[in-house]
Amino acid sequence: MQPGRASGPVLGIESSCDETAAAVLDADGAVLAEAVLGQGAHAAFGGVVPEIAARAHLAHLPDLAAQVMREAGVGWDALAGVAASSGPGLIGGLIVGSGLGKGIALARRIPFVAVNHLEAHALSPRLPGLVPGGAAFPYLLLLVSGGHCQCVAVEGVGRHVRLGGTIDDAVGEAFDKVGKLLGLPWPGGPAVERLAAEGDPARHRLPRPLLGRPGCDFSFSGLKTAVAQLVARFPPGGLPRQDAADIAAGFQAAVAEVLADRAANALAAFAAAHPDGRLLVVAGGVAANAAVRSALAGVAQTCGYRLVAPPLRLCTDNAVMVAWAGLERLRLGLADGLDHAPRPRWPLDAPDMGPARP
Amino acid sequence: MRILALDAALAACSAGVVVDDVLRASRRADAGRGHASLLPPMASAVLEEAGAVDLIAVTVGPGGFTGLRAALSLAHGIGLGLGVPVIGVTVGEALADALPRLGGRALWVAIDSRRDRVFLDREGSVEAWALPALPRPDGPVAVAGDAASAVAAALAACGADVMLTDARGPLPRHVAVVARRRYQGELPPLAAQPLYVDPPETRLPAQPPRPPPG
Ligand SMILES: Nc1ncnc2c1ncn2[C@@H]1O[C@H](COP(=O)(O)OP(=O)(O)OP(=O)(O)O)[C@@H](O)[C@H]1O
Repeated sequence: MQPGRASGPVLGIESSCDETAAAVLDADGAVLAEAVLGQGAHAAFGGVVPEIAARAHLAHLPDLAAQVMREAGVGWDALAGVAASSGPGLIGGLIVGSGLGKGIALARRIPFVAVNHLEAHALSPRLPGLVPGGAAFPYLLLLVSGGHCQCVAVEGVGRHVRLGGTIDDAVGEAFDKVGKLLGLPWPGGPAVERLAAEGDPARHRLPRPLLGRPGCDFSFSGLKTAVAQLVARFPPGGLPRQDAADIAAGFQAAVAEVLADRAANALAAFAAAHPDGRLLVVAGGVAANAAVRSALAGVAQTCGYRLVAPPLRLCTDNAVMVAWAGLERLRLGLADGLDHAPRPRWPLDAPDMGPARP
Repeated sequence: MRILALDAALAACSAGVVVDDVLRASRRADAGRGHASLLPPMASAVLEEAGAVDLIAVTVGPGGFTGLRAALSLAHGIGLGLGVPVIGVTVGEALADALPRLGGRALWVAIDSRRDRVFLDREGSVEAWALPALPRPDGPVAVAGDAASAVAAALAACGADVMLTDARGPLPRHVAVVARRRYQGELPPLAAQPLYVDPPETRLPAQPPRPPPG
């Protein structure tokens, strides 16, 4: 395949966690069709159940892929490549998504791209039309989702430098656990944010782990424990609404402050290495949180950076970003063998991420 | 009829192209847990060797979830890419096709499962059993499948009239023949989805969550 432009549309497949998703992008990266199926079945268990997720992916993905191809008006013979999230994530879903992708690729004799799900998040701001003027390398990525929480210098396709990350829980996980403590439906993030809007963030001075310390690692378990201790003071049963709201607001304020502090350190480290950098990108489900966004926007502005948050549907797990990452790789002549093994753990700075991939 | 047959239900995996019930190309490997990386190149190789097909046949289990997911997702992908149907075949059906002459013995297909259990496929109905608590056959039986030796020994020890066959796992030709018969309406339809036998393993939260705030 010629570098520069893919020779046709690319199909993207996402099934690394509990979203089943497929999307078709044209050779320039314009979205022709996209679909995401959430899996409500996990709510009763208060978290994603891997076996339920794997079964649902296999039950729905083939039809979903056919659906987006139909909606895109693209025939299977017109595809230039297939990209599937192949790690990190839950292995059952990864096997299903990469298996389906490989099957299509081998049937059509087109390249298969084993996309690193984190790289898909990392490259998403480069989707055409998202950032006015485009998101040129390098930029700083803050990935804040249910499974991940890290600062990454994105220097190019396959070139990522991890500046810091969580030493315990991911930030979305902390939102989910706090949601559970407060008796809110799963996933907790959106519900905690709604409840926090009615609360007084100043009533409880909750801990801010690592605040003011050098570096840009994160820690949320101490904060979560503090919330658990606050909640434990109440008798069993539903919390009084105002008390719950004050706790939610105090928690959210602590998270926003910690994220902003860590992001400031990350920006300083990033700027020292990349004087030409201008962009701070936030991705992952927690990027939906308005308090978090505005705290990060403040940091970016202070440092002379612009904060970019892709629209929510592209911040949470989706297949558009997977197809785009595939397209970026295909443009560089990068593809993967049909023998690629999906990987539950696959750090962004793993040796096989670089352009030297076979 | 030209059929691509895929199987990764048990420890080995295989891909074959079967034309008018005759095997034309095949690959086989001991997979361990590597089905997801082994099977796709094998499928590609047999298709390159033997040419296009008009049906995908794939085993749905019982078997290991890793292998079943690898084979079924691959089968659906190839089916989409080629625009041909994907037909599910049980391991029991494929083994039964391999054992046409059992002299009136009932066929019991025994598949290894976790925690000292076996899946028993008796005439198409599949249940999980603990090895020490197997049901007693009411007549002479023949046993096949990857747990056949253990099951035959256990049954013989209880005095059952049992014959141990040498059919241990599905072979592409039999997978393809069963799929052809299903496609032609000789066998009832079967979704190309794993035959799970058990519901997903789940655990409800240890403590009931608090009710929502008042
Ligand atoms: N408004 C919000 N405020 C805070 N957290 C939120 C909000 N909306 C969603 N979240 C959190 O975002 C997380 C889900 O985001 P996302 O889909 O990116 O994560 P994921 O499924 O864990 O994917 P990944 O594999 O990328 O980690 C959940 O933890 C959820 O609670």
